[in-house]
Amino acid sequence: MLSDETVIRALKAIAKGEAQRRYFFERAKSPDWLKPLAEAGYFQQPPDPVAEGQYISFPAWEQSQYLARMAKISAAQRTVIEIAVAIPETDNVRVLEDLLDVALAVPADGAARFVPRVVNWIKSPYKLGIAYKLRDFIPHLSQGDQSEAALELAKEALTPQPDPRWEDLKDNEFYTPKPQSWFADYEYRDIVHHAITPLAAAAGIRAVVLFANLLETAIEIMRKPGSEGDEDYLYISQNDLCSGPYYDELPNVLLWATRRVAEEVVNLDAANFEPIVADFKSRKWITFRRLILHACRVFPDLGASETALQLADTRVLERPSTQLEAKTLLRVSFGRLPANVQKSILNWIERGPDRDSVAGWLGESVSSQLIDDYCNGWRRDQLALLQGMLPAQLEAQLREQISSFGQPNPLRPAVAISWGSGGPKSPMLAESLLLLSPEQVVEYLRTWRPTGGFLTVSMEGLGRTLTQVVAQRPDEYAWAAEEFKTVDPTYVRAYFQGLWEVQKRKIGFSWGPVLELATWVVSQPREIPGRTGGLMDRDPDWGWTRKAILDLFEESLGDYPRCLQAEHREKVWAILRPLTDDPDPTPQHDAEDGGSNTDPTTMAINTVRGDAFNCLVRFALWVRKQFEKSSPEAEWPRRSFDMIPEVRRVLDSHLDVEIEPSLTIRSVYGRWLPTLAYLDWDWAVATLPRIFTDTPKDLPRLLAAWESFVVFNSPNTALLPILLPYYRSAIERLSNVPSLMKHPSSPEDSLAEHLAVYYWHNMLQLDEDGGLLPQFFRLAPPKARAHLIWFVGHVVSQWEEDVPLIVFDRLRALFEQRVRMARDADSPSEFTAELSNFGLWFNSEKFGDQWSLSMLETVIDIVGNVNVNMRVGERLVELAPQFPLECVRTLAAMIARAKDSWLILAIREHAKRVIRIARDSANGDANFIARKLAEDLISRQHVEFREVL
Amino acid sequence: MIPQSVLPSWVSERQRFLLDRLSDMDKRVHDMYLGALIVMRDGTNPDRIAMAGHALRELCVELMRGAGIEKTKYNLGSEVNNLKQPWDKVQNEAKACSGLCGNCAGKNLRKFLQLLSGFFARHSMNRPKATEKIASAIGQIDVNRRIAGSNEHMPAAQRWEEIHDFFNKCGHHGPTTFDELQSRLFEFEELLIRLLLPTPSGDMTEIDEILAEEKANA
Repeated sequence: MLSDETVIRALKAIAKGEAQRRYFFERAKSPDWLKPLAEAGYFQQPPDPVAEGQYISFPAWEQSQYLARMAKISAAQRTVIEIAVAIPETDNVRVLEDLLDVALAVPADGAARFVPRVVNWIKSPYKLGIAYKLRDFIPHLSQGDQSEAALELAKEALTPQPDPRWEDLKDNEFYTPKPQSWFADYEYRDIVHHAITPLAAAAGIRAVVLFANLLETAIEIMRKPGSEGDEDYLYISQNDLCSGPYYDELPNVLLWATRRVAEEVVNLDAANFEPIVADFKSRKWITFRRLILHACRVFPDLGASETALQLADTRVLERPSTQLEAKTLLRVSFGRLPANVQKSILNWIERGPDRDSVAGWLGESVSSQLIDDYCNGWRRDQLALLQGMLPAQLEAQLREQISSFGQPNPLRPAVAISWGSGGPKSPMLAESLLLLSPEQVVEYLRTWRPTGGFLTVSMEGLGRTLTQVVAQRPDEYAWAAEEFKTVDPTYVRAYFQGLWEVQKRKIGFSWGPVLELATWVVSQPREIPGRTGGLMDRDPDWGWTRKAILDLFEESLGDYPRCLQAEHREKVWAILRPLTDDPDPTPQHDAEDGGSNTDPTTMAINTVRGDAFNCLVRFALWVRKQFEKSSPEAEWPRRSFDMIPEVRRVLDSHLDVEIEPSLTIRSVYGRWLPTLAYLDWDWAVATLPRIFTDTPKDLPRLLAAWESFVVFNSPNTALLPILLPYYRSAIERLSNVPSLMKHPSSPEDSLAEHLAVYYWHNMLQLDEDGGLLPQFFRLAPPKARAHLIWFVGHVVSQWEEDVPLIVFDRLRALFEQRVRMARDADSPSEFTAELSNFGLWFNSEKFGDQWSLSMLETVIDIVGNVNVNMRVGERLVELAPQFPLECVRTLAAMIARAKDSWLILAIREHAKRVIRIARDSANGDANFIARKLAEDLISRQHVEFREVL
Repeated sequence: MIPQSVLPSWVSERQRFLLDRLSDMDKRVHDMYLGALIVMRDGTNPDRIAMAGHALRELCVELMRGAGIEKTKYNLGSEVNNLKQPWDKVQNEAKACSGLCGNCAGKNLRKFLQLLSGFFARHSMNRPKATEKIASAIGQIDVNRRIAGSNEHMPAAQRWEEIHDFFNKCGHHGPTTFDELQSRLFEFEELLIRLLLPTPSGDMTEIDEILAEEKANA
């Protein structure tokens, strides 16, 4: 026993503060504290959850953790229970977890007192690890002779809930309501898995009824209102009752659980078989009939009469939802069936499947012979189920069918589930096509017809296989290009995609026939009247093939052996030119996708005309390079489109809004502006006002071109002088014109990067009247300003030693100016994002230790934090021996301003080292701050800092 | 009171902390301390030792007063102390038989002198009670006061008295140096920091001791 004096001392000590209370409760090991602490009210105020913005946290409660520890001591359990059940209700899940630990540690009769409260906790939106505890709680109650409490808890915890999305999606014919649980699906399965055996043992048939009820509820939630009949379609997602749940979805889990618990209850007492079957029969859904068929097979003696009853109705052998269980049962029980049932089944086999239905499945063009073959094969498969139990005549018939039609198909579910079966399927494997010559493959492509239907083989599937084959044998297929004029566009596109794969690896092939085929493709009418198609099916027209040709060209307009050569120029242009007038993107496509879903630059690589323009620039560059490659440098003329007038004509004409209103195409000019300027400087200078046209009605085109330029191009010091007015306009738009480009690209961030580079290259000045940089900092939103500072820190940290010192002087001046602005601002928080990126500058080790430390301290003083704290912590450790006071003071300021414990956790070890260095230094102030900081941290419950004192 | 943010840059971190805490206790003690620091800083002031000593002594007195020890207008202790030195001289002279021994003084005077001797002896014996009072007052100031025992603050109280007396001497132009004043001030600041800086680590040490008893009783 503890003395009164000790208890009084303890109560006084823990009353001094949170850190002291926590320290005590984390370490107390004796149950003797329970009563005095309870009398002192220490178990009456569990901490509430802490909501901050969109987040919520659940503070640990050392008192409940102490109770959970004491609950493991037998002599203390009664006291612990009384204290625990008297704790006021709380939403703090961490506390609830501890109380569940108490319930799990004490005997089941005491644990049962927690059930009403646990039922409430289950419905809390936040559960953390409650599911894991609950997983053990139901067995704990069951095994402790508290079956009523266990059943009640299981029912409350596991009852499926309606799908909250259903109200919004009920008009969607493809959406099936999904039963919900209070837990994640995998947690739900885990709870069920652990509950089955203990509940079966403790509650017997009541456990079966419980799970059957839960299953029924799940099915009823899945079924749409107005659906008729008894079909619940569970056989699709769970075609095999003998397996565990295929998916962690409630119906699958509950079906599996109902089957398992029923088996266990019958194993415990055979007398339970009939009442269980009777219960299943009383239920509406077909799944329960599957369960009866399954039970009859598992318990053949108990289920003999029920088996005869079930199989007497041969529809059970045909119905997709029951046929697997029925045929499996038939195979093991046929010999024991009454003669009349046997005869009925043999007659059913003899009749065979309905020929009209078979014709429907096999397709319109299937021959009568094929239908006969199918029906005979079906009879063979059914007879094979009964092999060894058949009359001699039928055994002979079966042998004959096997010799005619081959071995029987094994018994398979009506629906075969295979993972990753969602893509288009091919009737042939690539390995098989590789055995054929290109001509034979073309012949196959010409004659093979898909049967149609969901999840079946398709042209798209075969095309994908063809792509693999062409990629493996490029030369053979290049020479056979002509043959592909006779096949479906889907395969022609797949063919070019195969060659594209070849070019990605810079392998090459014979271009002549391929260019001929491409020329032919481009000459075909783009649209094919009456034809439909889609992603998983076949190409709707020649558009996708055109795109595949462009992809191939873009990969091939290079400078490596067997890429396109100078002699191909005319042919390539003849193919490319018409594609620059392709209707894709249509104005409608451009407006819908380019405006809200996909930005113009992305559209430009995903549409035929857009990609043709990308290819056009590559073509122009390629022509120039080909020329330079073939002649001495002295003979090179000035770079100009005079050498490639055909390209200039197309570029000029598509800058006319009347001809080309597309944002997609305009974006290409921006994206390739430096290349265009390289190819013809005069043209670029003269054309800039048309590319970045600035009339209000042309604003979308201006944005398309500008954003594409600024995002996809590095800052270009040669172009800056002629782009100054456009940069200025872009800065002016920052605060009032939303960008077209979508995340993750950010024209605002890219603009900031350009300006930063120009600044450190001394092409922009910090205090220049009307200069771009002052204008940027005046008008840019915080995020863009922050990005500029981040970008500098990020880039500088990668610089080698050879950067002129003046560059760092300029950057220091920039940051000092930003700090002054923040200090003078009415709302320094406007600068938080910007200044807190100083962490990268600090960590770069490029700006001088003294200046960096001083600026870091200033930044923390103004905005409270810096990013990349881990590295900042490391850096402070490195600098502390030389600057103990500055480092420990900065560290203290960082920690003091930290809003939560994450910073301390992140830099804990670094903080300890800085504190130690400062504590041991000769600097009195450093020593004092080190002591104070350590004590502050301890009072903030970071007790581990005791070690540095 | 001067806000922390505009304190002179030469004010150290320790002093900033103390100024902060003293201002929470009483604006006057904050100002006394800051005044002492400022006057000490002024190298052109020939009387800075006395002025700082005076401010610091008053700081000690005010802190004690704030903690419950009232300084009365008439301080008997000081009066006695004022008599003590002349009395010692008289006694020494008497031993040398310079007119106050039994042979050369009247009966009444001898009786009085004997009583006076007893008075000083008792005063000397009762003197520690004042230290206990200071210790108690320090306990009131101490943000970390523990319950370990009544003598916890006695060493601090003795140091406090010594420092107080030193500041008093400075305030009265007693013999000292600026370096000694600085050194004593640092010592005083350390004492105050110990009293005013929360040190939960000490509480945890105590909890460890309590829990060790739990273990011993198990």
